[in-house]
Amino acid sequence: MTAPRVLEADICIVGSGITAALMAEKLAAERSATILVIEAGGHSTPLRERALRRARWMNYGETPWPNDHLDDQNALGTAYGFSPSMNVGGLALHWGGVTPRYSPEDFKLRTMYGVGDDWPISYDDLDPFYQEAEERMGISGEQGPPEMDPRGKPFPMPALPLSQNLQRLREWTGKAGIAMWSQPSAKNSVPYQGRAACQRCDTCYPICPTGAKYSPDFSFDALVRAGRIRLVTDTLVRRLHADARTGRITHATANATKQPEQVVTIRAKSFVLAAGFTWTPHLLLLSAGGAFPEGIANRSGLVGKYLCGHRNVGAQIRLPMKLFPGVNAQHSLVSKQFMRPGALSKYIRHDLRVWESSFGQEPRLRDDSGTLLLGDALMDDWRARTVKGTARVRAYYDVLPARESELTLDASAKNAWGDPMPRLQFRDAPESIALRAWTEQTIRELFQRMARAGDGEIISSASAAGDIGQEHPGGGCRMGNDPATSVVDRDGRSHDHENLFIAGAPTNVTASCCNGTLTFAALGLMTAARVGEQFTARSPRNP
Amino acid sequence: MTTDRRDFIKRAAIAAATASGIGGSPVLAQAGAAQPSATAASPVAPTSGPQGAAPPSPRALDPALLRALGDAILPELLGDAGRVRAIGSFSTWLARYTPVAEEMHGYGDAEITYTPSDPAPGWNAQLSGLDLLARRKHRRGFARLGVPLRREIVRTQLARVSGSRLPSDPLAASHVAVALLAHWAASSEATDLAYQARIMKGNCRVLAETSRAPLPLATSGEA
Repeated sequence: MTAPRVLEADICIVGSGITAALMAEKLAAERSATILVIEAGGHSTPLRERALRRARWMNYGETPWPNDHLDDQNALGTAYGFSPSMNVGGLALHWGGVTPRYSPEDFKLRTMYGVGDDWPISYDDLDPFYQEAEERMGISGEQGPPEMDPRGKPFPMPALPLSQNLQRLREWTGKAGIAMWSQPSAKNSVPYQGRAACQRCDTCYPICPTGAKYSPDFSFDALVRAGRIRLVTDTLVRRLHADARTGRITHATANATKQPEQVVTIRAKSFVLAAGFTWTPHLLLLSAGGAFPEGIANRSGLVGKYLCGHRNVGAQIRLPMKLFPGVNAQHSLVSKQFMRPGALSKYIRHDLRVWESSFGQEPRLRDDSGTLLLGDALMDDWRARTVKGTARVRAYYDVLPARESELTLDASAKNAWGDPMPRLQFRDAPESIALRAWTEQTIRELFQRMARAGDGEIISSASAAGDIGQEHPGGGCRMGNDPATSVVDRDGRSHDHENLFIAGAPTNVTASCCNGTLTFAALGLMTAARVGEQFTARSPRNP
Repeated sequence: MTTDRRDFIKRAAIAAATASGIGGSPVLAQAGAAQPSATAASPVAPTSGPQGAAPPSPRALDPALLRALGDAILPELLGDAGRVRAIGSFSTWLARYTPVAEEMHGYGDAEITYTPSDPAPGWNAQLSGLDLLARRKHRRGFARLGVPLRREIVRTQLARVSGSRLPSDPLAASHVAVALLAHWAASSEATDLAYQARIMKGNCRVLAETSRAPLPLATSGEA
């Protein structure tokens, strides 16, 4: 029989992904409080091993992040967009480091366009926290046209330089009347915070071998080394317990994953759930019982509801220009021109990205006549197809979530302790269902116009497949001012439990039409500011 | 599933793949399974390259037949030394392969998948099949035929391989000839030859040079 374990802290953060990392950094820097971070998984590949893991991935497709998940913790249903990653750093160990901001319109869709729901915060409210997230991670970015790309302060680092490929492609998009600029990225364009500049190894996703791309474990390693936080791994939080009278969270219970019979009790003044859009609502629903029969923080019945994300339309466009794919393949051009469309008679918003591509220029085994290509014939055929260049274009477009876009508990799959696993179901709101075909057709027409502007042709086109899930998902604990229609307030504090905070992705009302990680992190920092108010500010006299 | 159970499944899959010789030559199956003409016991000497840290395995292909195949199907413009490098790199890559290793589960993909079983038994059988066909049609071993006759045999064997694209992953190849071509074509050197520029795809490179066009190759001849 393994003895129970009790952990105590002022602040307990559940989860150790990118949102948790930045929150822990901020709280540790600004507040005199003991901080405990609980992670269900363990440590994955340390920086010193990443070059070798990268080589194994490039050569054989092996995961660079072995054992980054628990075998019996997985999601069911339309799980595209969900990752089982559970380790220090979370899914962001293998993120691509792409960090656009949402646009001001995202926060007031109902007011501006009569669709979806407004957020309880504005872009201007979030701007300082965007900036803080960019500075903590280290973002290299180019200021786009101010009317399209508003921001309060400059990026902390100069933009990643455009490759000659992207320079030529930007000239082309200019002919099509589209302003594009260097995609902001969590990759160092110059040495930053002790980490080297990017060496364009082209494997940002799934692994950066040099540490030039921000990774949450860098923050945790530094905080643990400095003694600013306590990081407890291999511990799965399974229940939150609340006082029936006050609603305050009194403690959490967990199990050690490597000693499953060991029960861990966690006591804290404040609890922060930073476990992503799946495991956060999952934990709240698992905690149902007693005075909270529908789950913790769920008097509205909206925990697990309004899961949000977006879809994309993409194409490959062949252009009469010589390009050299492979120069910096994961860096792209970006435009917010279509995210900020002004007044609309019919709702459509999307981003636009352009990459160098080798599509249609790959080496072939047979030519168009079916003749087998061996020896120099293979190379001659390959060379002949490199004369023209290919641009990959993609637009994420807004998808507004239905209430029934939801996470539920599925008793048909349980973990070692008998907890039902989450089942995900993404559903569009009626207005998005009505707009979907027209939206995708409009984007395809844009691609046609771009191709014509460059005397090119579309050689491949694809839309995100059916209803397998959505990209950059969030939601499940949406924020709002009204406790009847939201789970948390504008700062991420639960309407039902004064010392329970939900951070990052789950609090999204909608998911914009671009990558969400920077926004999740900024929201987490906004929440951290509120959490920190309960504790004394750090000072030389009060370290 | 516990780690122990996963390890057990992995070991069982390796054992099953080895026992079945998956990917075996249909020619051999018809002809009564002749053995390779040269020993498969001595691996081709590893060459330099970013193969990773896994320990070498005893997995190897018949070196004489592989060399004969490579000389017949890899581009002549590589020159003799370039083809030897390409063949050596392929052999090293295969020797260091780990079957049924956990694959990258992708960004936002719930499925955990594993690398394929050991392709070496099947590929060795296919090399033996080339040799057997050479002996039947030309009364000489595959390695002793001239390049045109070797290509003729390879064309016969690849007639049943469908599709026009070379797979980007050699492990997806259904024939050792395709695997060898795919492995070479995926290399940075091959891409540079195709574009006739020093792109150095997949290598870590100085960021400041991103903005300039890649330098042209010094010659368009040997790599």
